[in-house]
Amino acid sequence: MRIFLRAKAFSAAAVLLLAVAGCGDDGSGDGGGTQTGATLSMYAFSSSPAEDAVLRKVIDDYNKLGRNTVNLNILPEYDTALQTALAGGSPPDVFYVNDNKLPDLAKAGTLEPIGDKVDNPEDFYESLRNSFTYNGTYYCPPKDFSTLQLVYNVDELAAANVEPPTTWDELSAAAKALTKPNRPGLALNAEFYRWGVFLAQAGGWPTDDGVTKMTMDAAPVAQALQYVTDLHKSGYAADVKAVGTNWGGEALGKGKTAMTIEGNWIVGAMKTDFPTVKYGVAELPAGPSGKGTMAFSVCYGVAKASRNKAAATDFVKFLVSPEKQLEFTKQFPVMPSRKSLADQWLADKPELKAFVAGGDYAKKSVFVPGFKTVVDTLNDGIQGLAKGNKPVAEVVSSTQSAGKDVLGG
Amino acid sequence: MATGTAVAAGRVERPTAPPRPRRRSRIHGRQGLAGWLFVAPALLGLGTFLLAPILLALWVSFRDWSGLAPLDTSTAVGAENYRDLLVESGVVQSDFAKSLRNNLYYVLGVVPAQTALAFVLAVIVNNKLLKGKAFYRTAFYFPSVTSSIAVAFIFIFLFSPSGVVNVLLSALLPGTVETVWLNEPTGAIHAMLGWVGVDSAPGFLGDRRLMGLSYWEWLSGPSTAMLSIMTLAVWTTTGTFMLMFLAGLQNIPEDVDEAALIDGASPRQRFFRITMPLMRPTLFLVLTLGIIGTWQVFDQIYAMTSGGPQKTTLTPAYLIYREGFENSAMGRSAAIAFIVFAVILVFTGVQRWILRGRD
Amino acid sequence: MPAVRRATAYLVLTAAALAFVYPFVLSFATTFKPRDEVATHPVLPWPLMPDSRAWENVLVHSDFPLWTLNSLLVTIGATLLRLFLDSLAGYALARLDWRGRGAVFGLVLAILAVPPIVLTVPRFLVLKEMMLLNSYAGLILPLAVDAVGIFIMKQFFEGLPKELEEAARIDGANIFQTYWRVVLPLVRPGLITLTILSFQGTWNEFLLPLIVVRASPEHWTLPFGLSTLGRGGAGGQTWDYPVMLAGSILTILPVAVIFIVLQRFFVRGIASGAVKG
Repeated sequence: MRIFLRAKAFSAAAVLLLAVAGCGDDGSGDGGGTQTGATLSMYAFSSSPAEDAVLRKVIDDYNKLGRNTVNLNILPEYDTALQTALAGGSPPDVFYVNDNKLPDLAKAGTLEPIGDKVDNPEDFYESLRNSFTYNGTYYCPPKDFSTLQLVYNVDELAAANVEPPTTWDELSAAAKALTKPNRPGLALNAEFYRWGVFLAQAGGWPTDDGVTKMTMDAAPVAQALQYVTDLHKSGYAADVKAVGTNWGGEALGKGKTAMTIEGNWIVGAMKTDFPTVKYGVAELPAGPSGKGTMAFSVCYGVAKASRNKAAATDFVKFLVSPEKQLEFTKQFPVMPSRKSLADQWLADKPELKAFVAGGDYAKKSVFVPGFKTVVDTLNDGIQGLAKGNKPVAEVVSSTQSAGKDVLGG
Repeated sequence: MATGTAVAAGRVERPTAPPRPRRRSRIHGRQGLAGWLFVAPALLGLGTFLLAPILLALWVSFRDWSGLAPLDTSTAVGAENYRDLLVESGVVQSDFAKSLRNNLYYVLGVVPAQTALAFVLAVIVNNKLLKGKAFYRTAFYFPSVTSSIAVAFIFIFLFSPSGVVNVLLSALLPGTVETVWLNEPTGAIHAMLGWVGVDSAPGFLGDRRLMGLSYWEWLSGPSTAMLSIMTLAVWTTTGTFMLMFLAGLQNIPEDVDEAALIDGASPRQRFFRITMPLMRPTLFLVLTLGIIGTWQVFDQIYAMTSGGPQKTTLTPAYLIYREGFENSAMGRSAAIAFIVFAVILVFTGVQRWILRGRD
Repeated sequence: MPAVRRATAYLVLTAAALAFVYPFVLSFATTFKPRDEVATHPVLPWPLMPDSRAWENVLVHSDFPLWTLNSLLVTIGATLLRLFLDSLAGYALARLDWRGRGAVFGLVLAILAVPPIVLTVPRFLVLKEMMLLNSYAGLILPLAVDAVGIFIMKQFFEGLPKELEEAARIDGANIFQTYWRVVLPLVRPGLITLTILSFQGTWNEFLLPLIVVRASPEHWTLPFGLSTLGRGGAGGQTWDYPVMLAGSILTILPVAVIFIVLQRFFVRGIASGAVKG
């Protein structure tokens, strides 16, 4: 009896689905021209209550224009929510795409390439456009970005008579001078998304630019890893976890270190959690190959399965227009992705100049689908280096072979 | 009263005189129909909302679906996912092996601890002479009510270098204890062997490999970070199992106990001869749920460690999440789930056999 | 029991109870701390400068009343369904003799053995096919029956002496009457346990609302709605602990209340004298 009932439910559902699929178009025939009167759905994750409020306001502004209506959903567990929607075949029309998810989404064919459809696409930083390009197609315009730079405690450096370091040697000297008992001069998270800046500064990287080959075994990589490991061994640098905190901002704020490597988001955290600590931002010291850092970004993706692609593109164009970008980023630490807005953004926060400067030489922290396993292996190795229970050669070889498994090279 | 004595002697399971055959077949037939009717709505619910997704997941495990596009974009790959996890040497296999190893120590540590503690607490809280039962019952149950966020926050303040655990240990042991619990990857067994001078893999243990890990690595024991999570797990789950034991204890008819008292049995005899056997179904319940729950541990890893430090808190359930939602490898994710499924069935089967043999 | 021994026993017990409860005291205190104090004095069980910002955020500036109503609707509905359906099934598995009984119980256990996280997307696909998305039915029906509940009730039914049902059957009651009038009242501790655990489980459900009603905020339940507050930024750097903990305390509160209310009934257990000669 229950099988009969279940069959009935399924067949009823199937009939309904077929009926729905029969009518209505699939929206893929849009050439130019603006579609109007569409209702769009958008998924986003929360950055902070203040930023969410600005997002809602900007969407209100767009809705008032009367062309289309956008319904926003700010969701927790964003990756799971987005993936479920995509798997079900009825994704939101517009959604946030984290740069490290771009390759997976692009490969699975979920994104409509709209990168070139916005106003003045050359205005966006090239490194960011690269982050959102996969197999030669530029998929979506970045909404803002962050870079990693050196964040330091102003008073501590002044007391030790130390200037913010600009080379590796100066960094070692500064870390040494700032180290007190149980208080390393530099603390950073033991993971690729921090240590990677040193690889960039030495001219190395886990893969080649096209992410087709593993290059962990190149000399600059070992050099960079050894440099940071030695700093840890000598006690001048440490893993943030080793000083009992979770990330660099907490370590800096609680006085567990004098310098850390973090991104723009540290500004908000310092203001709310550690308002009494005076901090400064300097560009990361240059290594043997020059300056290097990593960029993190998010873009507005339009779903390929969307039925309102033209309307969605119109909405995205609105969001990344210079005026709206400025509105989004003016009061917040995230930086506008348009180069032309850099000066205006810095106007009332000149102390954050270093973060903006990073936009010119940052490396994208993006690889290929399925690379997370390799990054995890590298992180595993870096944790061992920081703790002192793994040699650099082992980390290099284990990451290299893990990467070969994924890249097939 | 006669029935009471029969029960007290522990012969609860034996039925009274069987009904005559003709009556039995009628009862049998009615029971057959009633059985299916009673169970039908539940089966409908389970079938639709649990069994169907499970079968779908099983089917997915034989495909290479990314999970980011509808199912029809995936292709069939036979047993490749299972091969990658179990047989093909590579980082997928060694990660899976590490997760199995870590989870095994977790199961072996947490299940006995939470079962024993829950039982002891239930017996205490059931004691007629205890004053303030309601307070104690509520207090011990409280951690089970909590959510992962609160637990993560509590964990951080308990196990941070200046946290409560270190403060207590510093008070009890000479010198100050400043271990950063969440950051210690050394396995417990390795650590203990280190105290007696065995610092690295002796001979063959280091050479032979199983699923990508040397035997020495398999024998590492749970890392300090994992031990901290296990302690936290026991703290949060004991209350729920205490509740079940309590209900089981309450299920025992009072006059069974009274009859034994009249018969002159000591508290100890009463406990071992009457209470324990009657608690067998509840014990089976608690152990089975414990084994199932521990082999599926995910929330704490997700909220607190993401598998670190150095992959010593990686568990299969967390791998399922990582492969499915971060690595866009849903097929592999499903394959992991069904391997764990098989492991759980084996453990449950063994446990059931051990308990049954006690007749 | 000599007085000293008794006093020590109570002392140990109370210390243990406090150890179990203290972390919540701390969480509660943290909800009244301003954020910078949380960073500098996380261990103090009282706020140095009490601040009601977190509670305002949660209670006033959010859809808290709506979420609570939704949660109550879903939880009470699902709990009642579970009470009824799980015990029916548990009884059938424990006491009735029918073909396929072993197989069905094996199925119940097998369902439990699959890690739930892997079912996230498959469940979504099934619910989508059944047109249950963005609805209350989609939140309640999947929760109406659970394998753990069936398992629990089966074990508790098995713990009962069979004589009672035999007696009732001989007295002429049919199977359902036996079940409803004689057996069910005897497993009251089991039913209470099932009520508490069902209430707790369905109240705390997070994944199901995520996949069913994430696109319809008017259906959001309390734990899901609360998880949208206070979190932000990548990787927890800007977590607003007072707000998050306030949210989690609100989530815990109803379950705790249910427990406190129902656990009284544990004292009145099986009716003695039910087993008559």
